[in-house]
Amino acid sequence: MDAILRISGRCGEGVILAGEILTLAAARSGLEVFSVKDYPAEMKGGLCTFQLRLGDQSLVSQGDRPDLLLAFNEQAYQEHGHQVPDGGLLVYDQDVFRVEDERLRAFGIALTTIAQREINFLPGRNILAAGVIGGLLSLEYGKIEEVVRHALRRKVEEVVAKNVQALASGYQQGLELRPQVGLPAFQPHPDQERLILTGNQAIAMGALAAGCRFYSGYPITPATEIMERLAEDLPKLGGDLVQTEDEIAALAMALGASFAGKKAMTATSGPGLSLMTELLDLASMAEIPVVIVDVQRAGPSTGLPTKTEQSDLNHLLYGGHGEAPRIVIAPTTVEDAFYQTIRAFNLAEKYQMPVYLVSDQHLSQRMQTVPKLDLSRFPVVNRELAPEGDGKYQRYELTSSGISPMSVPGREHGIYVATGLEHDLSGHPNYEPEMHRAMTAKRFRKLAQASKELDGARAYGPHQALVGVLGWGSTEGAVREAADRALREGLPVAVLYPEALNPLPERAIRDFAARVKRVLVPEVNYTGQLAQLLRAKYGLEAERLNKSEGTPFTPVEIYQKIKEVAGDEHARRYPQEPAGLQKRP
Amino acid sequence: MSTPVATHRNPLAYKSDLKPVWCPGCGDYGVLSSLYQAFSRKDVAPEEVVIVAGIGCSGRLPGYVHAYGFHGVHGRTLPIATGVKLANPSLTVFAVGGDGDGLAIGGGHIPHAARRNVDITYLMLDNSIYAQTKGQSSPTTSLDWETTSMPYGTIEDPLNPIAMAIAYGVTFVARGYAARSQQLVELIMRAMDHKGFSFIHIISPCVTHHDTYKEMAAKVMDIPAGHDPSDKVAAFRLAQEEERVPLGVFYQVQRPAFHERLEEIRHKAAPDGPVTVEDLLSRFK
Repeated sequence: MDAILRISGRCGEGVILAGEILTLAAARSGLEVFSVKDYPAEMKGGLCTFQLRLGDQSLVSQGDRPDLLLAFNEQAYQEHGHQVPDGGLLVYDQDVFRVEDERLRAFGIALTTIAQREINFLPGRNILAAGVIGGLLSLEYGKIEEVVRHALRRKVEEVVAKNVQALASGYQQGLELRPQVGLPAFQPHPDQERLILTGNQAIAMGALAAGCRFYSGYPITPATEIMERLAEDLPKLGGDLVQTEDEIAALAMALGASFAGKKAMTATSGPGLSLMTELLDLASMAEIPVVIVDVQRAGPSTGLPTKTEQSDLNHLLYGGHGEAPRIVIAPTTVEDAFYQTIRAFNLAEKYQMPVYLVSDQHLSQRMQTVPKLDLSRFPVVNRELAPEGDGKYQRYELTSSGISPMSVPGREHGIYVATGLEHDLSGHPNYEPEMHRAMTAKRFRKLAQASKELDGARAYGPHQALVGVLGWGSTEGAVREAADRALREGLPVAVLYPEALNPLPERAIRDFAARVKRVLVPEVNYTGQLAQLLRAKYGLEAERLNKSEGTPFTPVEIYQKIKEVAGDEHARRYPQEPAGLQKRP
Repeated sequence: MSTPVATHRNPLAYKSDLKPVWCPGCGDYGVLSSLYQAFSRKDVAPEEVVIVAGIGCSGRLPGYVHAYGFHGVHGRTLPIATGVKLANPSLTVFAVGGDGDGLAIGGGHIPHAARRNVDITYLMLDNSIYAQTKGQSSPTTSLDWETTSMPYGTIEDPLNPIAMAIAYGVTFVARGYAARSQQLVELIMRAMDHKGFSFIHIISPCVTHHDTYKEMAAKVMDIPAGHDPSDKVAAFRLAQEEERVPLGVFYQVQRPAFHERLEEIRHKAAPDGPVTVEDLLSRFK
């Protein structure tokens, strides 16, 4: 059982903070949560919306339509009210606007008056609203207050006291209203080990767990929180963080640090990714391990900085001059973001090449409860260093795996010059035809080697299916939820998420394509970049579902497309029978 | 410094087995040999030296030194060198590049290396031309000079690297001349001793595309003995000299180096010593 709550208001009114407080309080009360935020790039004005889904069982997506909308103003109601199903709940600030909506069960609360007159602190209106929802859900009051106090820990005591007063007042209102509103009563499962964090926090923590001790980066939405988390935490582990003058310097500095022996990372989003591209080639050519996080946002150029999209795939796979092997992996959930970040470092170190870790706004800025994180799941891998001896060291020695043991400054017998020029085995510049051929092959051999351990894919659903959904990245939750619904209705749907986007797990994909009737590739982009790749590489003609609106897929959007594809396929095969309900022979 | 001269490594110990690709008479040879001599006199272990270079004729320099090197991309020597130094502060780190590398494509990095006072030495080998691409105007090409990219004469005023460095707050600012090796050796040694970001603007003429040896022979002068390098205004005034090219140390002050500030941050962040990843994860419960 779960419920979806949506809070919407003018940006600057603290809607996001109210949502985050409730998310944390619900998680600490033993509930499962999944929350997303939708906000414009401007600091003030416009509409900010927070959606919190909570329940007593594991949640894999933000869900579809809200069961309850809390509207701070009329615009919020106009924008979101129609998405609440018939008989759903509307809670609104009756001091700001009046609603006559027979379709919904509406409850006006004097949020403004209470904040202004009773508490004498209008800015506490958002905390008051959080209190109302906390009361409606009958969350443990102490947990909410604890979260509020922590969120406001840098404010003066007077401000904290006023906010706590607002919270208590709102909570009381909510409790009193609860019997009429009738939100479900959840069964909390207190789990001491369960965590609640965002995708960006999971990436930062994964980096620390992987042994990252150097980060250089430039602020950019929606990746900045990775830098902010690490700015606080890296020094605690003896590491360093530098806020650089631009993204070019960010990757350059990370490469310098990695060359000198530290595990290094940078994180960025679209425009910064473009700036880093020349240095990506250098990392590939000079064979320097580095992890580059791309938190995708919507559109080319400045685009929609706070919105989500999966439109950097082509850039990640092909961006750059010349032919520069790189590994591309895309975590799908907050939990996965933690593990895949560790893995990204392991791959970078082992294969001495740049690894792109691809997230997006939807994954990076969502908050999700995750089970205990297991630090031993991906044991940390370090680069292979050449033995210290008297023999002549050859940095770019040709080996069958393509991997040449590294050296780091300070080692007496490993002196070499890392270079972006084509070079011979020692690293000396060399433009001979045979050398360029041999060195290019060596660099690509590492990718072939890596494909042996990246040959898997996460499969879900029956082995044989009518529709096979093949996706990447942050869509996995919505896809699984849609597939579950279809499966419950007897429609055989299977799901596949490759472990890496480069190298792609060819066998797993071909095998999947062979055991489903139709492949559906849903992508939050316009051109269907993965679908194009699958056609180019494997001749796979897939159905496509594309969305370029800056918002993530909802489960129902995927579900409807699955039904459509299944219906077409079914109608083609069994023209007389209704679609979707028959078991395949 | 206290080691007896007799036990110092020979300058040839720092010479690699690669033959330079520079034209005979190139100023860069003078810089390279001054570097060997400075290393020898400082007796620094080759494996403790990292030379980061950009793109252009001078970018080839690390290959000719028996030391660690990083020949990166055009204009990014300073951030790469910063990363190297921060990853291992015990290393002696140099950034080497030309006037195009440092003042055109990479010009945005100098103020930030200066703000950080990162403990590296930046050698800017200035030939006032894009030589490797065969003779286009650079940020220090004199006005009216005819080049392949500005055949009717250069129409952009040249930059003043010394004045820029002083304005940015670089803590050691000097100028040397490739043809005055002994002075350059001294300057490099002083820059290596300087704790913080040291910048040496080195006039390194290009015999092929922009031969300024004759012009420079008439223009160079030693900075007067009475100049006080801690006097920023005096240093700035000296940097405005247009008829002559002063050589020596313009400016020097002491500030904490970047790695020292980062070290302080670590103590601030974890006053009781490093914590574990498990500790950090438990905050998300």
